[in-house]
Amino acid sequence: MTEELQLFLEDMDEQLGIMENTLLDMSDIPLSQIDKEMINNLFRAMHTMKGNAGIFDYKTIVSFAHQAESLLDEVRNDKILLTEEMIELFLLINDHSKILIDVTIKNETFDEKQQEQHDYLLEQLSSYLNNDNQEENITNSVNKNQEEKFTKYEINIKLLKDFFKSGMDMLSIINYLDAIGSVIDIKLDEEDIPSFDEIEPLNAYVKLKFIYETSEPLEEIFDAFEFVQEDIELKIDEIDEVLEFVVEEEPKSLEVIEKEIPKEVKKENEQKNSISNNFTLKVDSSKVDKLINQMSELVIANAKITQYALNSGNPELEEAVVDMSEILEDVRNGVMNIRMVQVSDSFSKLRRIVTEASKTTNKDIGFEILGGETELDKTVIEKIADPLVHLLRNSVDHGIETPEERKQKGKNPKGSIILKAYHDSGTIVIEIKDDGAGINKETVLNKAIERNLVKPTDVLSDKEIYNLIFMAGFSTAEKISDISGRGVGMDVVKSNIQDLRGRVNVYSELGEGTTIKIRLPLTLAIIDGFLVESANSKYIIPLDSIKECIEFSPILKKQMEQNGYITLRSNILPILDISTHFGDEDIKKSRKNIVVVKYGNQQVGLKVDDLHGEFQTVIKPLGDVFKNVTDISGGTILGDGDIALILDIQKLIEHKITYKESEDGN
Amino acid sequence: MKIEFEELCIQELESFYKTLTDEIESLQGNPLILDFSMVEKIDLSTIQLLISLKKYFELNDMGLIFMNIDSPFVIQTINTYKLSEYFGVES
Repeated sequence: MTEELQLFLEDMDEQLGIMENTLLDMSDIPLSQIDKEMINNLFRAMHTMKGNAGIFDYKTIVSFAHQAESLLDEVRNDKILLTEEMIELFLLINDHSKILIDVTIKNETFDEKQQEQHDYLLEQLSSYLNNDNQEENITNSVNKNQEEKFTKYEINIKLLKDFFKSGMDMLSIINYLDAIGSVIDIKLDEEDIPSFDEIEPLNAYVKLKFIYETSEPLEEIFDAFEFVQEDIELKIDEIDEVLEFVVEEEPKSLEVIEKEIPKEVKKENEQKNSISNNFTLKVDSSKVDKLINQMSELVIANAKITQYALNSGNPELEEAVVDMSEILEDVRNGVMNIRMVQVSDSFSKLRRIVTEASKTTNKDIGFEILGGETELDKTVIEKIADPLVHLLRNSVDHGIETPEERKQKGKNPKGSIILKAYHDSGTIVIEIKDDGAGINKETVLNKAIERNLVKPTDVLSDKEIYNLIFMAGFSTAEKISDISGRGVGMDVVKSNIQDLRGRVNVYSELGEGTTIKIRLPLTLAIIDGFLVESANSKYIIPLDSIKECIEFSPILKKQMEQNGYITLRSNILPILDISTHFGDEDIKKSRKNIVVVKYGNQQVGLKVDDLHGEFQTVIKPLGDVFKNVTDISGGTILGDGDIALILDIQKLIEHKITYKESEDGN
Repeated sequence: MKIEFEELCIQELESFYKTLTDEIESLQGNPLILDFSMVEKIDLSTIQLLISLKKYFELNDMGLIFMNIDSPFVIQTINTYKLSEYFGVES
């Protein structure tokens, strides 16, 4: 797939996403509250689809989008009244557009059902537009609205040497321009084209001059050249009608026009420009990945240099290395930030899932998104999307009761699902909370026993029982539905989350509802770590999980020997000896330390020998050989070439607390 | 010379250029007749090469004839660039 096509797909994904969200917003409010901006969102999506498809000469997409755009144009100009049915129709158009794009770029044809849907939608659009002529020449579409102000431009294009090698055909651009306006004249300047015996056939020498008229803003014309902007010299000048036809004068350059703009308009434009200067740069994600990998190597190299500097005893060198490390940390954060995107876009797409599933199950469900501005690594967001879809469908299908059942229970007939994201202890937490029936522990346990997932004699905590739903082949649904309940999925959900170094837990109150809590790392590549040493082995503790470090004083040692825990500011703190835990022989040292770590609302003290301080940690997976090693989430290479293991704090805390509980139970 | 390409765009251009070079070498004073009957599609890179070819033939006072430009797409492309007179097709 070419870079241009990839950009087209990304653009369309974004635009259709906005369109879908807008339509869902529109579905939730009375027609009277629907504002022009919402209609404009829909119009922009279809307009962009038409324009971009025109560049690639995808005629079917262009004509389909054109019909949809035409209806939206009529609606936004108050010529056709918006109805609820029309919103439904545009939701179908949104769905079909995705299929249409997919089929077109794969150079395939519609199957029978898709073709029927395509024809049906065009027919519906036509009937709204009262337009029998679907083959209308879209070139003239803009001309329909006589109230719009048309501007004439002279567009001068000089193709740079590599234009043809870019793979773009100028004809596609002309087609696009024609779709959003009218190409009145084209002149091909052959002056620079060398004679056949001198030509480099793959190099471009052509200059083109267009006379062009459109009601679209100037940016739209520039957009037409978006995919070839690096391979052309482009100059667009507005033509003054009077000057053009009466006085033979050079067309006015943008600079001249700028001077003639009234002050107030100029100020407004400057404000707009200052906003648009914060533009979005689309970059191939593989380039960012490469940059992150190189950054990881740089972090390791820096660790080596730091080590040599510390060993050198040269204070100036040490200072320089400290400065460099600080800058490197800033650069690292900047690089990692490139991949961070707000979860809101991804979450918004899930609204449709809830809306559709609610309709299918005849349930009335309100869906709320909280913390959409929370940022997360794009890779993590992409990989978490499928598990979230499954969990939401489960909430709708199994969690929320029917309106009748809810009424009988004295609940609001309208159920509620909240999707929430927030940061906690250097991780991101995504919660799916419903106010449905909750999980019946007994039913879950009985099913698990029935399916030989647990033994009848097993004693399980509430948490363990709830987590049975993530076991392969587990399903408590009485009937298999289209929405969920096929017994596959929840185990995949859990493994997908674990693949992201994440965790999932279930909390439920019978009759009150269920909360599924997913905890994910912010990034997958580099973390701020704290380097400690125990029994000559080095470990990294994620810095975000550290609460404090204290000396393991003789008083604390005595407490520990007596109780197995220490008292820290009147609170009991269980202690986990890292060397003993990992089977190393304890080394007698006069001074030892406790690193207090937290996860959620639980704390444990990790007993270690030495504290080496902060360390930028490039996470390296341990590989399959170590797949059964718990309590370790990865490894890293230190400056001196040694390996340090990264502690999995959640597992360690769970291990210690569970162990302590079972000890207490005995 | 019958052009043996259905699509005559940037991908085919080098090959077409080589064929033309060989053909010119073997002309021996005869005009070059380019038969487009098989060609369904051309792009701007081809148009540029054909203009360059025409320049060469004019400079060397040699004959160059385009024939059987029938494909609607080829005609549309030529018309778009307002080169119908140049290629001898009806606009």
